[in-house]
Amino acid sequence: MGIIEGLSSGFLQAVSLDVFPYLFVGAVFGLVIGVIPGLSGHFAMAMVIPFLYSMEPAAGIAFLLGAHSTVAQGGGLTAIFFSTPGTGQNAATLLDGPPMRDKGLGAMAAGAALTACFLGATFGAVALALLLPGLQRIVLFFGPPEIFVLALLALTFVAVLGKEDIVRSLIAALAGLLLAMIGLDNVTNTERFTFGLLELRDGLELVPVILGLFAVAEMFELWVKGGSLSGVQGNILSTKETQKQIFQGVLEAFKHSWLILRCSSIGAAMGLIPGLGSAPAAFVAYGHAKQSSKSPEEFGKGNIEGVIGSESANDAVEGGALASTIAFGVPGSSSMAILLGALFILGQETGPSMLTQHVDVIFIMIFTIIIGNFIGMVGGMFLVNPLSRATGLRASILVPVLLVIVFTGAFAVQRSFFDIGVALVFGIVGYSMKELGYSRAALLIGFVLGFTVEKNLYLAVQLSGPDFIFDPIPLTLATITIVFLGYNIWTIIRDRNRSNTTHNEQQEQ
Amino acid sequence: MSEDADKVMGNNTTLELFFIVLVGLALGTAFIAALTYDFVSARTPLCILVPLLLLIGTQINRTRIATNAKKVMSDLSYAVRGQNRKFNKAAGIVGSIVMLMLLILIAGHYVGVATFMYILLNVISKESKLLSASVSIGVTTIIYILFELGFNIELYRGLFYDLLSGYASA
Repeated sequence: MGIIEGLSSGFLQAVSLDVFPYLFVGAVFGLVIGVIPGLSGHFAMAMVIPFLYSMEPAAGIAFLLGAHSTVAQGGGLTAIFFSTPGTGQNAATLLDGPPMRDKGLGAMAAGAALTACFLGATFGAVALALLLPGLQRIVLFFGPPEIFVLALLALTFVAVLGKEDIVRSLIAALAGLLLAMIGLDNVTNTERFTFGLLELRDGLELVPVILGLFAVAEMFELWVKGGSLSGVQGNILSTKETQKQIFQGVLEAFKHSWLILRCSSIGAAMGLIPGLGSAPAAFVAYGHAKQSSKSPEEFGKGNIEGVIGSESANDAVEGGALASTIAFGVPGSSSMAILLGALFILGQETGPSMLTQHVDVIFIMIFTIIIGNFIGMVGGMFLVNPLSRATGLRASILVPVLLVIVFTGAFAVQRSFFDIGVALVFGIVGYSMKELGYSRAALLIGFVLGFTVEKNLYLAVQLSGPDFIFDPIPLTLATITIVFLGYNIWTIIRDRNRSNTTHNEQQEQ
Repeated sequence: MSEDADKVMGNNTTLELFFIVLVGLALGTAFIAALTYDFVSARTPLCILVPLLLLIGTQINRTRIATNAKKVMSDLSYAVRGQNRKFNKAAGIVGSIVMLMLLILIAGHYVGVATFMYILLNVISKESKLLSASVSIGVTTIIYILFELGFNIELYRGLFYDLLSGYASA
């Protein structure tokens, strides 16, 4: 399928009556989830996954990505009105959003943030479309040896670049890989790590694992924390004043379209690197916006450029992140790992076959991101006040309701009672990991990549013998992995030695 | 525990020690199991397990250095005596979910989830009876509409239902 044919087919499918309602519901759901502090994009995606089994691929993709694409928009609103980022990726918005609110310009910041998100996401999606012809050629050079080493490189990036401690992240990544080994070995038909349990013969199901690690763990945290979801009560403006300010914010965003373009480029480029995620991209874009501003001294005191820069970058990341996920089947974040799992459920295979034969599916994703963000922008504008009130919900009401939906979803996938237990166990593991600073994203990506790693290692050894690692691309990727890991370990040791030296000097004084 | 160690390890050293030792034991068992598989099946798990066990050892050592036996024992007895509010709440919700699983198994999905929600809302969170009953019944109805009518997924009816149906249903 050619790119033009895929583009038109993807667009027509995305706006068709079979797909659009799912996209719309997903986008509104994502917006609501984004507004609620503590519930992030991967929570929205995890909640959507159980429903995919009964959907057509196009509808399922639209539903899932629709939900994911608007989470950042909802999170931006909470960051501005309640000084609490709805999701981690909105943390940079805290620098200038709340000061604008304190000046009585909260709705203007919200309007600018929603528009910047939409334009940033559109830029990221267009960048993905433009990358397609290049990716179609590059991906042909990637066989089993290359994919195997690339998967290890991505896993190393995720473990090292995450905000968590490097040893804990590597433990999580390797544990994720090991979890994928549970069940029948496809080559020898040997049962591995099942310990006699019949339910484990086919391995751990992805859905209860995702639901446990993210949805159940988040619910445990909310339950333990208690109280209402937003600690700070924001100033709720009158509806008329709110709408007026929102439209001023939209105009401001369009006035700063050059800034949006630059910050979106930063976001899309950083999205290509596995493990970086949206939050660092938003902070880098914020720094760039400040550096290039005519009034940098106003940053942190309520400068609209700060809001626009960070919000446009954190949504543009998705286009870049999707490119590596689609082309090589190597996800760079937990959200992309969930998307990859969802594509398996929907019977879609990533890699060369998707890039050459199912280009329409890629364009459904691209148009879902654009249309979903547009729905989020318009919906967010009209729902600023009611959505803000959603954060007043008490955890004591929200947790039982969401837990019941999560466990029903875990059961419904295979109608298996065992999967409820799996979701509970991974909920406990996920909550402990979050509390102790272990990377859940690394665990999930390891789990999703485990099958790919083993299959490609087997094929690589069969095709080229153990020397496959000395082929040009695998050798280059392996060298990058080792140098990157070695450099990061060296910087940790160096920083620790410096810190000890300083500590000793202070004690001597 | 020194201030530096506290910064590196956070304040959850006892929990981490417990967690990491538990994970280590599970991985040790997996390592022994992997040794019994043939070469092709054992190759990838062993390649993962060797560095993983080394990292676990490193982390146990880091955690051990950051704490001491006295603190671990004190934290454990504090939790066992029910004086750790966070632990109590986490254990409470896990216990409730185990109860939910038993309820689903015996009385079926709908009775199970409605009872679970009512108990969490009314008995544990002290919400009003009216609110608890409305939320429980409302959400259960939505689940029925969504799963049974919308997606045609039959949720488990429970052992009682099976018995009354003469094991006729799934």
